[in-house]
This record gives sequence, structure tokens and C-alpha cells, in this order.
Amino acid sequence: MKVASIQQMILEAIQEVAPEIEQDDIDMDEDIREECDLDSMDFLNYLIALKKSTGVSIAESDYTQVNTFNKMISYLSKKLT
Amino acid sequence: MTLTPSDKEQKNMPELEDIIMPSLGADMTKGTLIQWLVKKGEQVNSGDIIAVLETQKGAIDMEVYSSGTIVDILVEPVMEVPVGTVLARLALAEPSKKVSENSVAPMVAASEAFAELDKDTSVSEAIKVSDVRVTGINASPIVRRLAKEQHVDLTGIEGIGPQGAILLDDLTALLKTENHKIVERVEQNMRSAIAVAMEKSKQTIPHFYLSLELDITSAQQWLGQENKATPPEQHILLLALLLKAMANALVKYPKLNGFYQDSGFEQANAIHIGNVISLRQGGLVVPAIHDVDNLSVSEVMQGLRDITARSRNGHLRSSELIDATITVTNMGERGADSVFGIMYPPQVAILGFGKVRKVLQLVNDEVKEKEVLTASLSADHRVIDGMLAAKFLNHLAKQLQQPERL
Repeated sequence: MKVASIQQMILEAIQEVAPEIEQDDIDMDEDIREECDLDSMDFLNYLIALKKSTGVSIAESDYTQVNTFNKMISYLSKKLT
Repeated sequence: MTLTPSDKEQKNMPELEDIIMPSLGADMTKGTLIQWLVKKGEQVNSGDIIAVLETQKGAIDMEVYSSGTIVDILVEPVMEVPVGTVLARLALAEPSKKVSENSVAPMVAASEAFAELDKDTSVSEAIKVSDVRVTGINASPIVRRLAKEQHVDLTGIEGIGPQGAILLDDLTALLKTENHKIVERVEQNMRSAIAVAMEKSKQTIPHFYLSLELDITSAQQWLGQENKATPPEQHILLLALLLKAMANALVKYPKLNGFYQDSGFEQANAIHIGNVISLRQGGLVVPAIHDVDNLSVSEVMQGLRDITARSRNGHLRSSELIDATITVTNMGERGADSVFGIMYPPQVAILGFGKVRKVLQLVNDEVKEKEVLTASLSADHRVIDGMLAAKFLNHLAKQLQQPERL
């Protein structure tokens, strides 16, 4: 899958819990929870939304690999190839 | 009491029940009927969603509390009316048991106490719309139709089409500004509603406060084990465990779970925990998870996820906003060590959870790393004494030492 479409899916999943967030608001290398003001419930709902759109289930042990926007892109890219 | 002839006649008729604009909390005085989801003559069952309301708490799905047939619809959308206004009448399938009244009455009573809110807050005029004029305006037919449907006044609008004709793009832009105005108005309303309710609560209820540090080391370890390999939708958050432990403690100390009204304290016969949920655009809602003492931890978690999602997308149900018997505010995530909440009348207690901290503790002369958080309780001294409140907190702490048994 192309990076651009993965990026779009991540953004859409974020917007499901934080509709007011635009791509420009997010520093791709900063902690995504800080960037988008997500509490743990929001973060969980973000992962659930991503699972729905990509089919990738992210377990807690992998959280450190997905805590920024860029890290999430590379994590999903690996899983989706 | 003697029966008049007409009363006797009515005995054979189906009993009628008024469906009213509900009070969804002490701070609500009015609501706007947006849409009926039922028609006159339609059969409904208790718990069915029959209408959509716009309130100071956002969009709400209104439920009916009895089963029967809708025999009359008295208010047509879109209309803003005070709490208690009869919206429709229901012919009951069975004689009423008046069950709902017990849970609804306290909130209605409290809301009457807050009636002065009416005078202070501006009614959401932007939402209350009447028929709009769309004829004699330079606009395409589709724009006219949509404008009528969406209740947008096109008078005086200059469009981007030929001779200033109003095109679809103009309407979309217009709707965006209108929506924005409505959202702003609802936010303002919510702010003033919160202000009035909290001011009254703090002035009339003798609050007292106490806190206890909860050792959650075992709870965190247990959660780590449970969540290690589970998919996100089965993931359990600490708050679910805390709510479950709290419900168990309330079973043992039921005096914290109920309503204080004119007649004094009345213990609730179920444990419905209201959860303070901050809305991203500002303001908050306090939907309840029902019968927490009878739910498993993963069911409590599902309940939490569900009310959080529906608080965001405006599909909270009316019953969830009226029947909380105690409230929880979980500030920890946002970085505060403790929070002492203001009670939500006529409830008699609110419990706050602070953020998780790692500390070193002496256990049997050995230094151990522990995870702790502070639970802080605000309680109504007319009903609860300090010692009882302390016992409740200690029981809560004890519950969390054996998370697998929750």
C-alpha cells in the first residue's frame, strides 16, 4: 500500500476521535497523543478505528512503535506489505 | 377518594401517560425537539428512541419509559420548550407502575430549583427556527429546496451566480457559518448551565473532602497481563477497574449512593455511575453506566468506550443523563494529582481519581517501587460523616489489591 494512502487512513482514524484536527496541526515526529490531545480512551478508539480501516490489530506491547505519526506509518507499511 | 362517573369510564380506557421534555440533569431547563422518530398511532416499547433533542448537553436520543401507542403528538419540530412540556401522549399497554418516576423525580425537582437559569441564559434562537421565506429570491430550485429543508434564510444574500444568483456553493458556505454559530451558541448555553448548577451546588450543599492514596501496583500488573496481547477493542483501561472497585465499595457503603431531597436522603436501589466526560469543543457531559455492581470489568470497559464515543457524536440517551446515583471525575490523565469535585445535585458524593505516580515505599523495612494514585471524595455532610467516607475509601483501596477478583 502507498504511504500516502496509509497516511490518509491514519488521519481519518485520528479525526474519528478528534474531528477538529487537520494534518497541519500534527508534528509527524512528536508524540501523537500530545499532538492531538488524546487521552487513553481516545487513543484506544483511534487504534480501533485504524483496525477497522486497515485490519491491523495493534497490541499494547507495540505501543512504543506507534507513538508518533511517522512511526505509525512505518509500522503499518510493514504490516500491510 | 370516590370515583366520579367519568373516572369510572376512564377505568376501562387505556391509561394515558404524558411524554414530556425530560430534564437531563440539574442544570437543564429547556430543550429543542429536532425530530420525531415515531408517528401518531405507532406502537412503542419501553426504551425505544422516539425523538431527537438538542439540549444544553448536545444532541440527545430521547427514549420512552413505558410501552404503548402514541395517541397524540402535541409539539412539532423544530421547537424549543421548557423542561416538563408535554410533547406527546402515550396510551399505555399496561397500567403504569410508575417506576420511571422514582429516578426522574429528583432531577426534575432539582431542575426546578435551578429555574432561574431561564432568565439568565439566552435561548438558542439559532436553533429555534420557523418557516423561512424562499420564494422571490434569485436562487436555483435545488438551493431553494435545500434552504427550506435546512431552515436557512436566503433574504439579502448575494450569490456568486449570474446577477448574484445564489448557487449551491453559496448555500454550503452559508450553512457552514450557520452551523458554526449554532455550535457556539450551544457551547455558551452549556457553559452557563454548568455555571449555574455548580454555583448552586457549592452554595447549598455542605461539602466535605477527604482523600486516600490507592496502591494500584497489583492492578497495573494485572492490566498489563490482560492487555499484553489483546486486540484494542478488548483492551481494558485502569478506569474500568476503578469503577468496578468503587461499585463494590458502594454495595458495602450504600449511604454514598443516592439523592438528598426536601424529604431527606433516599438511598438509590441501583448503582449508576455518572462519568464526567470533557467534550473536545469545551464543556462536559455526565452520562451514567448502569448497574456497575452487576457488570464484569470488561463490560464496564465496553460501557465506558460506548458512552465516550456517543458523547462525541451526539447519541447519548436521555435516561443515561438523568439517572446517575453518584459521579466520578477522572482527572489523572490530564495530569493532576488529585481533584475534589463539586457534587451534582441531588447526588451526595463525587469521587475524583488523580494521575498514576511511581513512588518508593517502605514495606516490611524494604524499599519497594509502587504505583499509586489519589482518590478524593467530596461528600454531603447532611448525609455522610467523615468516618463513613474514610471507610468507603479504604474498602475501595482494598478491592484494588485483588484485581483478578473484581
